[in-house]
Amino acid sequence: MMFKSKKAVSWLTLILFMAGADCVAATEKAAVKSEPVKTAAKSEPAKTAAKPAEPANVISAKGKVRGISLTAHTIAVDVKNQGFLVFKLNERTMYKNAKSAEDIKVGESVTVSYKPIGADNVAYVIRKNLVKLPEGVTEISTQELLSLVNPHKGDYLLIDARPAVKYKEEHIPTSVSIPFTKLKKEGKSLLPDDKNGALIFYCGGPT
Amino acid sequence: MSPKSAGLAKKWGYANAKVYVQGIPKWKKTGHRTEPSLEYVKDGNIVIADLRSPEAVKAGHIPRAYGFPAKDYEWAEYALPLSKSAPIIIYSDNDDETEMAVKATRKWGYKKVVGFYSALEEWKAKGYSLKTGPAAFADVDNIIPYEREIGPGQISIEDFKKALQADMIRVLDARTQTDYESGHFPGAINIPLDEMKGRIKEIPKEKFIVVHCQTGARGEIAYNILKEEGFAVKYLLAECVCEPSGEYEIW
Repeated sequence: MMFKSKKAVSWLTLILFMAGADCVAATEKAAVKSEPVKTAAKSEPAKTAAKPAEPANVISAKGKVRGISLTAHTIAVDVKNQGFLVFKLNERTMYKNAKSAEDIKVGESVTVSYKPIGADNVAYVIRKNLVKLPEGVTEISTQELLSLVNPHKGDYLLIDARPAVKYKEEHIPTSVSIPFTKLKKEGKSLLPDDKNGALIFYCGGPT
Repeated sequence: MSPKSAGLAKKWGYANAKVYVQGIPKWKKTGHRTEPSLEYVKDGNIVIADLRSPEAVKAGHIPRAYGFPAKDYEWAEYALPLSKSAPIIIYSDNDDETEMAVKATRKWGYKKVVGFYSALEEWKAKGYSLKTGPAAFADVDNIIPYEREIGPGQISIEDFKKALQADMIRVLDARTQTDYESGHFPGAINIPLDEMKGRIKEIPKEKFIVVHCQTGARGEIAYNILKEEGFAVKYLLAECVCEPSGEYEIW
């Protein structure tokens, strides 16, 4: 009897504890997914035909880096329509637009060419995707920006496009916070009336 | 994000839209100053360090600030929070001192260190009041407490300890086997992150899983793997040391 009541209490606490978690019941969902590795089977033949230089059956996936662990030689990427994919890095992994795995940071956009081997997706090539600027938009260098900011020349509007919490923690002097999501939602009323003045946007680096 | 914003501006007819592509990381790396928002200094979950002399501090300082006079700043290393992710904001009435302390604090491994230049002028201009009397005190025996905010999928250190004691969770140790063997949490199972995908069937489903590693980076990846697989899981974003005896310390 003692045992039973104690168990009931701890389950109650556990349920409360779980209520805060963004999770689903373990058993049901796991049973459905028996495949240990997600393979984009459909795109396989086309990709290999296009890139004969790479080993057979190489698949490529593009997405944002969600996590990287150099200790465990692992990189996790959020791939559109496929969800969360995990890749293993080894000494043969090649890097494009990056010297090594150390140059790849959470939030950056990468294209990974990989091959499922056993339970793992082994990365052959990791390409860091460079930023493409929209047509008519120009890039400004650190030096150019510095010459405007320090000492402050008033002839521009410097806009921090990151989430507002990031801006609060630290930002480039003279900047104002207009997160991209807010700009998209609320529109041009957030920008100045004068359409000829310089608008300079920045964020947390190439993503 | 910024190229997309500039694209919108262009679309709306702004003739002169530019992007500083390298962004904040490059700006900081090239040694240029950033600044925090005043409201953040006022109410944020942060640690504030005032580098001025005790006399100057007494006459008026930013509320919640700890006093670390610049000439003895090296002692601050032993008084700052254990968690290297604690945001630390440093100010003085002397910019060189602020710069020196920011550099030193980053060198000690703190990841979120910001110098707050012309702090007192800006503080007063905003109409915020200063606190008179001595600043908050901290030293090696009175380390500054800091509790980080809990993000999605994370479990707080407090909840983790309680749940572990009540035997309500199963700890999944994502470190290497060597790390695990040198000491681990009671009842923890060890699957190094790089083997996680292949050994997923070994993870019991009868209990709530909490993944941990050394700092939380591997833990987060493992958390996402297990979540995809439908496990009830959280991860511990904290640093910890486990003794072979089963004793542990988390911060």
